[in-house]
Amino acid sequence: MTRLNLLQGTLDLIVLKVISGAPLHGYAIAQRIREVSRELLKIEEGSLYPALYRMEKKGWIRSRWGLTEKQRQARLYSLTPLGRKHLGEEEANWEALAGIMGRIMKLG
Amino acid sequence: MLRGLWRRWCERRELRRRIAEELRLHLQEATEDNLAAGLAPQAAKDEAAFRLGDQKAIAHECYQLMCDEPADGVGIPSRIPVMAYAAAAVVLPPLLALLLIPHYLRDLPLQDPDRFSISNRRVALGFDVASHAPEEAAAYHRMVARISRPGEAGEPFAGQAVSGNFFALQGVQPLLGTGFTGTQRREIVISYELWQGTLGADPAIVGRLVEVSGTPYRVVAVMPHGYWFLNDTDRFWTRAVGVAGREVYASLLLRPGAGRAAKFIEALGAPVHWIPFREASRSRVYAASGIIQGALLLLALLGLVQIWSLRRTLLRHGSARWTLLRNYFFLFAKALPPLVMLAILWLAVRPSPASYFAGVWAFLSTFVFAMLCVAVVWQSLVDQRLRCFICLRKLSMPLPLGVIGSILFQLPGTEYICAYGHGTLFVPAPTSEGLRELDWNPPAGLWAELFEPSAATRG
Repeated sequence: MTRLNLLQGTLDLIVLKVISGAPLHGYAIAQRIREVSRELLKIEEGSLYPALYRMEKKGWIRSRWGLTEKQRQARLYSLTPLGRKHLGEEEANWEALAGIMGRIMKLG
Repeated sequence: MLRGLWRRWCERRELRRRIAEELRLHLQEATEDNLAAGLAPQAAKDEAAFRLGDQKAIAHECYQLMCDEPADGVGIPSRIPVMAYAAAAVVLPPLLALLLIPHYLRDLPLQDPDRFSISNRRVALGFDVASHAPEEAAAYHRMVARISRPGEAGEPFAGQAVSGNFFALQGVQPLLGTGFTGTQRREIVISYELWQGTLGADPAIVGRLVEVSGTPYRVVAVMPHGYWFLNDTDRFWTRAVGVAGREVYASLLLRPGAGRAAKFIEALGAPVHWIPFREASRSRVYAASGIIQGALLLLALLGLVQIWSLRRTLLRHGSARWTLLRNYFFLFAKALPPLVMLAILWLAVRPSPASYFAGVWAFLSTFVFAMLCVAVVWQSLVDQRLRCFICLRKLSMPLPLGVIGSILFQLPGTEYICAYGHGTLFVPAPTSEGLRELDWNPPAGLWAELFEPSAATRG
């Protein structure tokens, strides 16, 4: 199956959703997205970090130094209350959009 | 304020360290995963680096995002070390002066050349020199006057109006006479050439009167054959009386042991006029000046063409006009301070209009200033070229494509990607035909229409 380009503006939503479970570092976030999408979603790893920094600047996520599973020092990202609220709004928007697109695609 | 600056500097250093550490960890983990997947060590490393992209660009973008630096506009403050330009403009001229001083002063009959220096700083005849390095200073300014025997028409000669200690500071003894006596204001010292020529080699010239532009002056000395100071066309030296409205310069005798460091500090006074050059080299200076200034004009014209070309390209690809205008405003606003700074520096060392082309130093300072301006503008244009055609943010992840050897199949160049998914920009490599048009490619596919600029962003 062809790998899919990431839709504009959805990277933030995906990252917020991925880290909503537990704090993760940059590479783990990329890995998690790849696993969940079964390697079909094409994400430029290089664009992940600017997205993380941008969201941290907006106050949606926070970061702190911690240890990875391999006991390495890493910057772990987690959701802030503001980020959780934003994620909820974005999820609702996405579901609405997906519903609309689904109906359009079913037009005879 | 200093504490604030220090704290900010520490925060930014920590931010740089954090970004570097995150990218390093990313590569390390990715490499290990690739190794586990069966790749060879080098291949695993290469694959990890490839997937991550241009680390420098990523780090730069992350840094910009966290440092409140605008994502659009021209990143001159962060990309161009303004202080380095300013430092170059300040340090380069005296550095060149330091190199040239020994060369140009070697012919002067100075008793102690290592202690001799010159400044173009405005100084009063009372030798009120700001620096503590000079032991003594003598003032002078250039002048032109008709010199003749009384009652004759005379002809114009270049000369200098000098302070009374002018020759004593250089340690030069006249051939005839004793120099300025200090008892009269209208005294003149003449050159050997003037004495032998216009004044008829009168052996009893000392004590006689000559006319300086119609005013009688008493000759108090004749300088030795071949004596010159800064300009070998000078034929006389009179006592300076009143310097209002004139550029007055100082020749300085540094304190014993002051050495090169003191000379360097003195040279920071940015001497423009003092570099002497012989009559024979004047034509070469004119020619070089003409060629370089012509080249600078050409560069300026190319810059204008570049600006026009960029505007046309951006508009053709549907960028918002207001966004474009805003970007040019940023370009102007950010390029202005360094240019103003350079202009002030240049004004401080600029030559007078009359001698604009008549001094190597004037030419050098003008040239350095002009090249710095061109560098700033050129950097701005290059910076503008590598921006997203939709959002005007910096493009990242440069990817070299094509090779010169297979130019028939694919033009070589570099492809840049907008990190926000608006498309890719192919920048063709320059060829013998010159710079080719940039090739902007929006993402294709079912969702292409979603990537088009909205009505709002079109302005």
